[in-house]
Amino acid sequence: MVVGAVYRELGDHLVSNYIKSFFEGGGSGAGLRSQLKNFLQKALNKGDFLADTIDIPQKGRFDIGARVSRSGGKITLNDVMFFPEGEQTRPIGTGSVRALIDQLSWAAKDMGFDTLEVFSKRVTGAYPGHNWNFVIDLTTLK
Amino acid sequence: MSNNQIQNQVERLIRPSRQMLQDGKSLDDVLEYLKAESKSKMVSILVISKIMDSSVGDAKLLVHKSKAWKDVKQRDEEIHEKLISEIEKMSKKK
Repeated sequence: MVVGAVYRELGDHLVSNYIKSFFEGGGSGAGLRSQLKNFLQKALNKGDFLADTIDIPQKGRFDIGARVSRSGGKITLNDVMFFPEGEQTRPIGTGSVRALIDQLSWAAKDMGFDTLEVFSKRVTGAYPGHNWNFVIDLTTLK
Repeated sequence: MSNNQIQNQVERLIRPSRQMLQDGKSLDDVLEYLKAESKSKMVSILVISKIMDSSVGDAKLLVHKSKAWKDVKQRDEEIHEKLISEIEKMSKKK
Protein backbone atom coordinates (compact mmCIF):
# COMPACT_ATOMS: atom_id res chain seq x y z
CA MET A 1 0.00 0.00 0.00
CA VAL A 2 2.84 2.35 0.91
CA VAL A 3 4.64 1.52 -2.34
CA GLY A 4 1.41 2.13 -4.24
CA ALA A 5 1.00 5.51 -2.55
CA VAL A 6 4.61 6.45 -3.36
CA TYR A 7 4.08 5.50 -7.02
CA ARG A 8 0.86 7.53 -7.12
CA GLU A 9 2.58 10.60 -5.69
CA LEU A 10 5.58 10.12 -7.99
CA GLY A 11 3.26 9.80 -10.98
CA ASP A 12 1.42 12.87 -9.83
CA HIS A 13 4.67 14.77 -9.40
CA LEU A 14 5.59 13.91 -13.00
CA VAL A 15 2.15 15.05 -14.18
CA SER A 16 2.58 18.26 -12.18
CA ASN A 17 5.91 18.94 -13.91
CA TYR A 18 4.36 18.04 -17.25
CA ILE A 19 1.53 20.48 -16.62
CA LYS A 20 4.02 23.20 -15.63
CA SER A 21 6.13 22.67 -18.72
CA PHE A 22 2.99 22.52 -20.85
CA PHE A 23 2.18 26.11 -19.86
CA GLU A 24 5.56 27.60 -19.28
CA GLY A 25 6.96 26.08 -22.45
CA GLY A 26 4.10 27.45 -24.50
CA GLY A 27 2.59 24.11 -25.46
CA SER A 28 -0.01 24.05 -28.16
CA GLY A 29 -3.72 24.23 -27.48
CA ALA A 30 -5.53 26.01 -24.71
CA GLY A 31 -3.35 25.71 -21.60
CA LEU A 32 -4.64 25.51 -18.08
CA ARG A 33 -3.51 29.05 -17.30
CA SER A 34 -5.39 30.49 -20.25
CA GLN A 35 -8.48 28.43 -19.35
CA LEU A 36 -8.31 29.79 -15.79
CA LYS A 37 -7.76 33.33 -17.05
CA ASN A 38 -10.77 32.91 -19.29
CA PHE A 39 -12.80 31.63 -16.33
CA LEU A 40 -11.77 34.53 -14.09
CA GLN A 41 -12.56 37.08 -16.79
CA LYS A 42 -15.99 35.59 -17.53
CA ALA A 43 -16.80 35.39 -13.81
CA LEU A 44 -15.72 39.02 -13.30
CA ASN A 45 -17.90 40.10 -16.21
CA LYS A 46 -20.85 38.11 -14.89
CA GLY A 47 -20.55 39.53 -11.38
CA ASP A 48 -22.26 36.44 -9.98
CA PHE A 49 -21.42 32.77 -9.41
CA LEU A 50 -20.03 31.22 -12.57
CA ALA A 51 -19.57 27.50 -13.24
CA ASP A 52 -17.43 26.21 -16.08
CA THR A 53 -15.33 23.22 -17.05
CA ILE A 54 -11.56 23.04 -17.49
CA ASP A 55 -9.26 20.37 -18.89
CA ILE A 56 -6.31 19.26 -16.80
CA PRO A 57 -3.75 17.39 -18.93
CA GLN A 58 -3.69 13.65 -18.15
CA LYS A 59 -6.39 14.08 -15.47
CA GLY A 60 -9.55 14.85 -17.37
CA ARG A 61 -12.25 17.46 -17.12
CA PHE A 62 -13.19 19.31 -13.95
CA ASP A 63 -16.08 21.56 -13.04
CA ILE A 64 -14.92 24.80 -11.46
CA GLY A 65 -17.10 27.47 -9.92
CA ALA A 66 -16.74 30.72 -8.01
CA ARG A 67 -18.15 34.19 -7.56
CA VAL A 68 -15.34 36.52 -8.55
CA SER A 69 -14.96 40.18 -7.67
CA ARG A 70 -12.23 42.80 -7.83
CA SER A 71 -11.22 45.66 -5.60
CA GLY A 72 -8.20 47.63 -6.78
CA GLY A 73 -5.33 45.19 -7.21
CA LYS A 74 -7.12 42.39 -5.38
CA ILE A 75 -9.17 39.64 -7.00
CA THR A 76 -11.45 37.65 -4.69
CA LEU A 77 -12.93 34.21 -5.33
CA ASN A 78 -15.93 33.33 -3.18
CA ASP A 79 -17.71 29.97 -2.85
CA VAL A 80 -14.92 28.22 -4.73
CA MET A 81 -15.85 24.75 -5.99
CA PHE A 82 -13.85 22.17 -7.88
CA PHE A 83 -15.10 18.70 -8.80
CA PRO A 84 -14.17 16.05 -11.33
CA GLU A 85 -16.78 16.30 -14.08
CA GLY A 86 -19.58 13.77 -13.66
CA GLU A 87 -18.89 10.56 -11.84
CA GLN A 88 -15.31 9.91 -12.94
CA THR A 89 -13.24 8.43 -10.16
CA ARG A 90 -9.75 8.87 -11.57
CA PRO A 91 -7.70 10.23 -8.65
CA ILE A 92 -6.12 13.64 -8.75
CA GLY A 93 -3.02 13.93 -6.61
CA THR A 94 -1.37 16.71 -4.69
CA GLY A 95 0.93 17.63 -7.58
CA SER A 96 -1.96 18.30 -9.93
CA VAL A 97 -3.82 20.35 -7.34
CA ARG A 98 -0.61 22.31 -6.66
CA ALA A 99 -0.22 22.97 -10.38
CA LEU A 100 -3.83 24.13 -10.54
CA ILE A 101 -3.38 26.65 -7.69
CA ASP A 102 -0.06 27.74 -9.16
CA GLN A 103 -1.64 28.37 -12.56
CA LEU A 104 -4.66 30.09 -11.01
CA SER A 105 -2.29 32.46 -9.21
CA TRP A 106 -0.35 33.11 -12.41
CA ALA A 107 -3.59 33.69 -14.31
CA ALA A 108 -4.60 36.35 -11.76
CA LYS A 109 -1.12 37.91 -11.90
CA ASP A 110 -1.20 37.95 -15.72
CA MET A 111 -4.47 39.86 -15.45
CA GLY A 112 -2.67 42.57 -13.47
CA PHE A 113 -3.70 41.66 -9.93
CA ASP A 114 -1.25 41.69 -7.02
CA THR A 115 -3.41 39.82 -4.47
CA LEU A 116 -5.61 36.75 -4.75
CA GLU A 117 -8.06 36.02 -1.96
CA VAL A 118 -9.97 32.75 -1.82
CA PHE A 119 -13.04 32.03 0.30
CA SER A 120 -15.02 28.82 0.49
CA LYS A 121 -17.11 26.68 2.79
CA ARG A 122 -15.55 23.61 4.38
CA VAL A 123 -17.20 20.29 3.60
CA THR A 124 -14.68 18.29 5.63
CA GLY A 125 -12.77 18.43 8.89
CA ALA A 126 -13.95 19.23 12.37
CA TYR A 127 -16.11 22.17 11.30
CA PRO A 128 -17.97 21.39 8.07
CA GLY A 129 -19.98 24.40 6.99
CA HIS A 130 -17.45 26.88 8.35
CA ASN A 131 -15.79 29.27 5.95
CA TRP A 132 -12.09 29.27 5.19
CA ASN A 133 -10.06 31.90 3.40
CA PHE A 134 -6.49 32.53 2.38
CA VAL A 135 -4.69 35.44 0.79
CA ILE A 136 -1.99 34.86 -1.82
CA ASP A 137 0.53 37.61 -2.49
CA LEU A 138 0.99 37.47 -6.26
CA THR A 139 3.98 39.83 -6.23
CA THR A 140 6.11 37.02 -4.77
CA LEU A 141 5.43 34.60 -7.66
CA LYS A 142 8.54 33.55 -9.49
CA MET B 1 -19.78 21.06 -20.14
CA SER B 2 -19.23 24.68 -21.01
CA ASN B 3 -20.56 27.49 -18.87
CA ASN B 4 -23.57 27.82 -21.21
CA GLN B 5 -24.31 24.09 -21.10
CA ILE B 6 -24.18 24.09 -17.30
CA GLN B 7 -26.49 27.11 -17.23
CA ASN B 8 -28.91 25.48 -19.69
CA GLN B 9 -29.03 22.30 -17.61
CA VAL B 10 -29.71 24.31 -14.46
CA GLU B 11 -32.52 26.26 -16.15
CA ARG B 12 -34.04 23.05 -17.56
CA LEU B 13 -34.03 21.25 -14.19
CA ILE B 14 -35.31 23.97 -11.86
CA ARG B 15 -39.00 23.62 -12.69
CA PRO B 16 -39.30 19.79 -12.50
CA SER B 17 -37.25 19.78 -9.27
CA ARG B 18 -39.55 22.39 -7.70
CA GLN B 19 -42.53 20.38 -8.88
CA MET B 20 -41.19 17.23 -7.22
CA LEU B 21 -40.92 19.04 -3.87
CA GLN B 22 -44.44 20.45 -4.29
CA ASP B 23 -45.68 16.92 -5.03
CA GLY B 24 -44.31 15.76 -1.70
CA LYS B 25 -41.13 14.09 -2.91
CA SER B 26 -38.17 14.27 -0.55
CA LEU B 27 -35.01 16.28 -1.13
CA ASP B 28 -33.16 12.97 -1.53
CA ASP B 29 -35.55 12.06 -4.36
CA VAL B 30 -34.87 15.40 -6.03
CA LEU B 31 -31.11 14.92 -5.66
CA GLU B 32 -31.31 11.42 -7.17
CA TYR B 33 -33.31 12.87 -10.06
CA LEU B 34 -30.81 15.69 -10.58
CA LYS B 35 -27.89 13.29 -10.56
CA ALA B 36 -29.57 10.96 -13.06
CA GLU B 37 -30.48 13.86 -15.35
CA SER B 38 -27.29 15.91 -15.25
CA LYS B 39 -24.54 13.59 -13.94
CA SER B 40 -23.09 16.80 -12.52
CA LYS B 41 -22.59 17.74 -8.89
CA MET B 42 -22.15 21.36 -9.90
CA VAL B 43 -25.51 21.40 -11.71
CA SER B 44 -27.16 19.73 -8.69
CA ILE B 45 -25.71 22.38 -6.36
CA LEU B 46 -26.86 25.26 -8.54
CA VAL B 47 -30.40 23.84 -8.91
CA ILE B 48 -30.68 23.16 -5.17
CA SER B 49 -29.45 26.69 -4.42
CA LYS B 50 -32.24 28.08 -6.64
CA ILE B 51 -35.12 25.91 -5.45
CA MET B 52 -34.18 26.09 -1.76
CA ASP B 53 -33.35 29.80 -2.04
CA SER B 54 -30.06 29.14 -0.26
CA SER B 55 -26.50 30.30 -0.83
CA VAL B 56 -24.35 28.29 -3.22
CA GLY B 57 -22.11 27.39 -0.26
CA ASP B 58 -24.99 25.95 1.78
CA ALA B 59 -26.29 24.07 -1.26
CA LYS B 60 -22.80 22.61 -1.78
CA LEU B 61 -22.78 21.22 1.74
CA LEU B 62 -26.28 19.78 1.36
CA VAL B 63 -25.49 18.07 -1.96
CA HIS B 64 -22.12 16.86 -0.73
CA LYS B 65 -23.67 15.14 2.30
CA SER B 66 -26.57 13.65 0.32
CA LYS B 67 -27.24 9.98 -0.27
CA ALA B 68 -27.29 10.59 -4.02
CA TRP B 69 -23.67 11.75 -4.15
CA LYS B 70 -22.36 9.38 -1.48
CA ASP B 71 -20.37 7.41 -4.07
CA VAL B 72 -18.00 10.32 -4.73
CA LYS B 73 -18.04 11.86 -1.24
CA GLN B 74 -14.64 10.54 -0.24
CA ARG B 75 -13.10 11.43 -3.61
CA ASP B 76 -14.36 15.00 -3.34
CA GLU B 77 -13.32 15.38 0.29
CA GLU B 78 -9.78 14.33 -0.60
CA ILE B 79 -9.66 16.86 -3.42
CA HIS B 80 -11.15 19.54 -1.16
CA GLU B 81 -8.52 18.92 1.52
CA LYS B 82 -5.70 19.00 -1.04
CA LEU B 83 -7.09 22.22 -2.45
CA ILE B 84 -7.23 23.95 0.95
CA SER B 85 -3.79 22.65 1.88
CA GLU B 86 -2.17 23.85 -1.37
CA ILE B 87 -3.86 27.28 -1.20
CA GLU B 88 -2.67 27.60 2.39
CA LYS B 89 0.90 26.70 1.40
CA MET B 90 0.78 29.19 -1.47
CA SER B 91 -0.50 31.91 0.88
CA LYS B 92 2.51 31.39 3.15
CA LYS B 93 5.08 31.65 0.36
CA LYS B 94 7.32 34.68 0.60
